[in-house]
Amino acid sequence: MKKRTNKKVAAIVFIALLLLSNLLLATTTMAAHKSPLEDFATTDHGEFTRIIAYLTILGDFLQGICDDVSLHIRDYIVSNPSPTKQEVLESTSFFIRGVQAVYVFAFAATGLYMVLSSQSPKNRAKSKNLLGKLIIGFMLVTISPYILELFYGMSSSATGYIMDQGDSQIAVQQYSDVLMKTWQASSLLLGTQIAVEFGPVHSGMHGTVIPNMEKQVQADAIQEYLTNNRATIDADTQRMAQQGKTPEEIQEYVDGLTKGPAEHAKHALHEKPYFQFMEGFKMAPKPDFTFPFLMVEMMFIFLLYGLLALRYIMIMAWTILFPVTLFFTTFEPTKGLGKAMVEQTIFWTMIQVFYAVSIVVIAAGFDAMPGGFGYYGLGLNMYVMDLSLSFFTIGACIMLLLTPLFTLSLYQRLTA
Amino acid sequence: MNAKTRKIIVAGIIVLALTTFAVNVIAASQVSALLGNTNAGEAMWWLKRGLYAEVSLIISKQGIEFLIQNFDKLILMNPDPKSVEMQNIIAPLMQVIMPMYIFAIATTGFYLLFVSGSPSGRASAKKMFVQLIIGMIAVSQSTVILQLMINLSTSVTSAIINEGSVRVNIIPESIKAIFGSSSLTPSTSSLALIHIFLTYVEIELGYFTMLPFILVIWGSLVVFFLRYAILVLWTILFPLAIALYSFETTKALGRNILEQTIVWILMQEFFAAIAIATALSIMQKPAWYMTPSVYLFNAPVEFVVFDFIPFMGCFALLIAPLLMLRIFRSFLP
Repeated sequence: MKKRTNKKVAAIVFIALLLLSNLLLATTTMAAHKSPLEDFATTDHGEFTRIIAYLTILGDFLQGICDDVSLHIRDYIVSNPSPTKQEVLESTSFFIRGVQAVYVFAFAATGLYMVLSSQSPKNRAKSKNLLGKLIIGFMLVTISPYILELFYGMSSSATGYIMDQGDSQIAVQQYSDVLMKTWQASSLLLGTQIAVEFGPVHSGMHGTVIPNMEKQVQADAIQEYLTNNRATIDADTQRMAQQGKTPEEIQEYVDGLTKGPAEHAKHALHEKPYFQFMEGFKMAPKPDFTFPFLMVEMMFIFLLYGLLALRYIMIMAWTILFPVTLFFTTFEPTKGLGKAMVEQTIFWTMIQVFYAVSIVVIAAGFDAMPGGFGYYGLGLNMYVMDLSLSFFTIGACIMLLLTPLFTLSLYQRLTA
Repeated sequence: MNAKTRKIIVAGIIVLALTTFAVNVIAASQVSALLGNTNAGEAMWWLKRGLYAEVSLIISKQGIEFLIQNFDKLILMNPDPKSVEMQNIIAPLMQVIMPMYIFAIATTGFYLLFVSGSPSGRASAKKMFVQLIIGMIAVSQSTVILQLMINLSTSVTSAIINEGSVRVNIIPESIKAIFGSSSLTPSTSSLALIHIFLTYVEIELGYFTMLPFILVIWGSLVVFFLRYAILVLWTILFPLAIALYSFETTKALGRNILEQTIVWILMQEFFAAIAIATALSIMQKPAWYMTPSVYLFNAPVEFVVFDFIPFMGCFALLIAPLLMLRIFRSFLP
């Protein structure tokens, strides 16, 4: 703690020294060109203004996402649709009625078969077995919404219990860190470029250095011309003085003589490659430079919200189709199909348990991590700013977002 | 020079650059340039961006009104095997398949009558004879069988969609509400407004807001028409599938084609189930669920609300074919 405090104090002193030295630098460059605010607002269609507005609004947008995740992540993971709600029951009842009609037909057919094929014990046993399955299947289909309600309730309770074992806010903090720190990195990237473009490049190079170079070469050319033509100029100025010309007129005459060499020297300077490089140098900050960070942010938002929303919709779809699923599992020819549909129903439901496990694992992992790794570890690490984005954080977030894929691969091994 | 010192120097250079600007702004005294730059070139630059934003919005939202009015009809869309155009393609195929059957039946009959082979050979020839006759009848009536399957699927899907108080058209209506108006004066809570703003910042940034439009609206339309197109293909190949299924050597290929035909017909029911599920999710979820809102500049009123449920509902329609093809495999004997 003491070590960190000392480092903080050192950082503050360092920044203060920089500010003071910068004040000196700024006052000498200010007079060289028009108002900085004027330049800033009107350069390239207010490009800098637009960039700063974009970064500000993007920051607010990402903060809104982080706040929403922090507030509602538990609800998003734990909640399941209710199969016994009125609107859901209306849709499910269509399938229940249809399947029940098929069951009634199957009962009648099996009963007829038992009556007509009474001479074969094997066939009688088969038909008795089938009748038993039909009765059980019929009952299960009738109460299928309530079976699912029970299953979803168990899954929600287990998920809630697992999530309570760890601090979900640690996982949320890592997610927020990725979003906000990539945004900070974008801001730093563009802000630095704007500052360098506007400061040393625009104010410094174009405002001071280049004009000074032009002045210097012109002054040298004038001096050289005056030195080389001293006798002629002295004779001319003396004659003009004798003719009664004023000193201003004489000076104007001399300036007219030196104008050509000065312009020639300036033109020669502009032809030089190093001057052209300096004149053409621009940082030209563009929002395009933040695309990698923006893509990471969009991917993280889409993966978290998108997969959770997709899970909710798929569970709702399999809830509606559950009577058909049970029907398919009753009969031997369609048993494979029914099994696949049951697996899908269980898979989409159990994803929430794995989300809860991921959150607890992240929380436990960060608690148990060796000291300093989470703050200074790997990744971007600015010593004087809090812009450290540890690879542990990125890895934890990717683990959270790819939980459905891990669940799928594990599930495939279990059901193979 | 160690790494720590290098870091301090780099940080120092960045802070120096930032503070140059800060000091200049504080010392600045002229603000007139902020007001009223009426240069025609400047105005044209802004107009061009606005035009691009408007046109890109119009193009990317092309089809949203069509989706709203026809979402249920698109789910129920099926090809007609008995149409003249289909029959013009199926008829020549039948003319090739039927002689094959006749030849096969004649050969099997000749074998049964005149070739005194082993009892097992004669038994399998008899079984094949029956299969060939059934296959020939099935091929000749393939259009009727397929029409029956399609009609049954349409009836079931229609019943699923129209059952209860749920309307599936609520899905494209919710998407339209998310994306907002396409005019240059959109509502204050819309993705269209963000798109216009981002386009003014940089045209390439506007791509990020155009992508959801294209994925959801165009994707939904594409997946419906893709199903229709693939079903047309399987409708044409249906007689061939039955013929291939009849013969032992080509049974596997025939089974694959028949399974694909059945899966793509039944996909309609799956679309309907997902559409109903999405509509139910939209209707019964709490207002805040999967709806992150943004408060710009700490304003008390939320600026944009993006609803993920209708968006992911359309995305689920896009991945439904993949899911069905994965689940429904090798179910025929």
